Amino acid sequence: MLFQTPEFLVLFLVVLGWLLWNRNARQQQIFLLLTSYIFYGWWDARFVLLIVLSTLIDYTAALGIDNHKISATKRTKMATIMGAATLGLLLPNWPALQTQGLQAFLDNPLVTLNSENIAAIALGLSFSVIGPIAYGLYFKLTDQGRKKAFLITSIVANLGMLAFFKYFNFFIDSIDAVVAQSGMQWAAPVLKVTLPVGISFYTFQTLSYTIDAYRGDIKPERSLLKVALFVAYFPQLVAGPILRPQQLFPTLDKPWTVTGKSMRSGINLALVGLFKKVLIADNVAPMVNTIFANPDGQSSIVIMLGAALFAVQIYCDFSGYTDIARGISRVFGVEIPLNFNFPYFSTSIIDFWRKWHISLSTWLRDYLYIPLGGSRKGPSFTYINLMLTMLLGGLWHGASWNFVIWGGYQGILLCLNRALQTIAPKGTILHKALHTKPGTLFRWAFTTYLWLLGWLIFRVTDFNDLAYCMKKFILFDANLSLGGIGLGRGSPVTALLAVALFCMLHLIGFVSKRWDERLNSTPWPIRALIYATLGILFFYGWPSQSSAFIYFQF
Amino acid sequence: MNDQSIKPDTPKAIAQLLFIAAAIGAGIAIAYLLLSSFIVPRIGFPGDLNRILKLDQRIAIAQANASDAKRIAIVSNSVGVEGIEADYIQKQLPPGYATENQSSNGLDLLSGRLYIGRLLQSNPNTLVWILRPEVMGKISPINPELASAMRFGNFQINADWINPNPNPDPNPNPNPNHQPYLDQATRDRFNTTDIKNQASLRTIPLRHLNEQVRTRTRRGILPAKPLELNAPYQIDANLTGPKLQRHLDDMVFILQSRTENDNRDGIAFIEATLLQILQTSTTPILVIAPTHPGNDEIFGPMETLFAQQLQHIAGLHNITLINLTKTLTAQEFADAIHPNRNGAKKLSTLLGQKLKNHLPETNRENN
Repeated sequence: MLFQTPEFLVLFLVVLGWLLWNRNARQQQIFLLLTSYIFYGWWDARFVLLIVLSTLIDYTAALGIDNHKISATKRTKMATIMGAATLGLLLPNWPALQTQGLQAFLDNPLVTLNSENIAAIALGLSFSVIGPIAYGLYFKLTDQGRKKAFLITSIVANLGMLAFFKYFNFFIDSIDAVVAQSGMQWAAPVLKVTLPVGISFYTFQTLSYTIDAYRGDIKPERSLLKVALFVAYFPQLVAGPILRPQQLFPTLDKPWTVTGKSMRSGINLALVGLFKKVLIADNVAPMVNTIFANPDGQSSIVIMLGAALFAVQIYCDFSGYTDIARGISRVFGVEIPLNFNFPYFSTSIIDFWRKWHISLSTWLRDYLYIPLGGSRKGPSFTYINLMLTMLLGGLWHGASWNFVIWGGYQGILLCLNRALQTIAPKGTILHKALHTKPGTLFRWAFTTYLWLLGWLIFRVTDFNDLAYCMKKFILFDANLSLGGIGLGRGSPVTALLAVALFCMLHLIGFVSKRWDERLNSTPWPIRALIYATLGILFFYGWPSQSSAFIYFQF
Repeated sequence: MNDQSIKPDTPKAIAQLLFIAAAIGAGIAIAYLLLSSFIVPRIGFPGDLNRILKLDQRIAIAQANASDAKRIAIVSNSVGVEGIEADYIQKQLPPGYATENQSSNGLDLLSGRLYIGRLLQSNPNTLVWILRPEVMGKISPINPELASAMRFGNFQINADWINPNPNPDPNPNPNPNHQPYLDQATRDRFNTTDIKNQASLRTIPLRHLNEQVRTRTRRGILPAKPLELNAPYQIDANLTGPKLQRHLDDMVFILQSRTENDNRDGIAFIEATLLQILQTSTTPILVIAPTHPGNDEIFGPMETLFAQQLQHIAGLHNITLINLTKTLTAQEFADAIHPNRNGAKKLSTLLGQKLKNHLPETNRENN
């Protein structure tokens, strides 16, 4: 279910009505959980089962870490749910049922070992049969042994699901390519694996719960309902921000409260997000697609324009989603942390990563970079840790080599940035020169150039096209022809107008006040005018077809 | 559990929601009123949707006007729109034929095939297809807005090459080589039923602006006459100096980028379109348009290659090919592509002279 669709508006109003009417925390949470599952299951009902499995595993693991043994009755209930969930994975998918009706069952017989069925059987065996046996054994281990066993189980189960559903074909294809290069014979297994929307986001979120429990940073939650809601809370479920347990659990101890202030402030933020997504990102997308559909042969200026447009598109798409998610949650009375803090005004790559997708970069820092040793083991290990973190961060984005390369590229830039900090520490002439006004402008321009080059790696998946684009981006060919971008037709004009509008508003927001905050403090007659203008813009600029958020695929 | 530290404020919350919804709703209402009472009456439906709908009307008008005459439909992109005047062709032909210029700006191979499909429904005697060498290479993806517009212009959006059999085996699509040229998003555009208003209304002001900008950059172009069957456009001005050179360079860039790596997708697509025409009683005739002499060094060899490849196809399917390359001087071009008024007169007369020897007496037997 996409935020910018009528069905989501209905879901939002229903949840809002429930929260306004019902003041019982537990009943609110049950309702929120059910609507979260409906929200997620709208793509494919089977995806919900994966979330349920993940929830049960992490709920059990965290309590096990805390040496809290779940009662046999409750364990039986949970094992039954797990079994049902794994069997549920054998069902045909929801879109197929909607379009094909009963034929969907005939086309997906239970006995056929298709990819989903194999996954279901593997999961069923692991969790429904082996799980309960292992559970008893874990409690016979030493205190530290039990904690480690539960943590490892949680990590293996979550990353196992992620690896299978997201990376199985990528790994097989890569092995196949290597084997084919070596001239050996190998029949690669062929599986059609459906990628569950946003699996990387909720996997990381749920992992943080067990890891924090292991570290003793949080007290594991006794209520399965609360854990389930933490994993599946719908506004941020499929594209973040990735929540930490400390950010949501405290709010669940009391009923969520909708006030006039939360309504105004939340909707203002959501409208800013909707503006970014549907008026900017979706109107820029066709031109970006035109440029990168066949980049071969395009001039440097077109490639640079494409990279800049994609930078605007991905920022407005992703931060637009985050704003809508945060806005909706704020309406409900719950604050979700900031995920973007004007990253395109960064003056270094380190600065950029502090401001771009903050919830992911802090997750990678806290659960990967620091456990690897961070900067505590000397410069060489620091650089290695940075590279490893960013390579895995790149792979997190998608099962494709270009994301790995993108991660590696960001890692190299971070290492160089760090090295520069070492070479030119505070007080040196170079440092002082770089922090004058012209120096700051230079740092911003250079950083912009570097992340634009990074977006090319992110966007262009074909290696030949990527090599061409990078060559044209780095070596300017002085060909100012714009013949390849379809000027004279509607979409480039729309895209360029949208970008110009965004740049102007974004700059104003940066130098003075965020637009949602500005709206919050604006007198109501002016606010009414702004809303009406938004209505006009939505009427003329709403794309004829809703497109999914880019980060849903991650 | 029921800690009520923050006091719920239901009436204020609902009031805020209603206030925001009402203001946005008012904006939408204003936009709609503006559109229905000002933009549409004053500007009409400019842009692709208007053009496509008008093309559909134009075919119907031509069919009605022709009465018993054998219709010769000229199909091309802006080269034909601005460079062909049907009256000059008509003067060269024997009685009993009616020439109509059905060319349309921006008609590339994909949209051209859709258009030809619609044109064939009106059963012309002859379809004269004017092409330039740059079409022989890589095929440009169809503009999604154009796809939306065509959805409403009675074009053959349900043709098997657009919507192939969803179950490819055991009955493979008869035109498998066409499928890659239409991505899923474009197909979705063809298959969506509720986009007419969205496709047109949201882009009206921007398209109008776009047309204004375009017209200003090339002074001398008069407003389009979409229902005009003789000369839909009239060019009076010539590009000269650096502006012409830039346009010439653009054409070289387009040609080179499309034909890079020996790409010949366009040739295969032209052949498939001809096969589609040959399934009907209409006789296809291919014409190679002249290019600006200023680009001879680059275009010359490509024109020769293009002519050879089209000749090969024409020979295979017994189709007439008329080669009009090198027939216009630089002074007879308005810019790097389009003939000016004198060029249009000369080109149309030449085409008429060549055509008269190849016109079929009657409609072909259906294959």
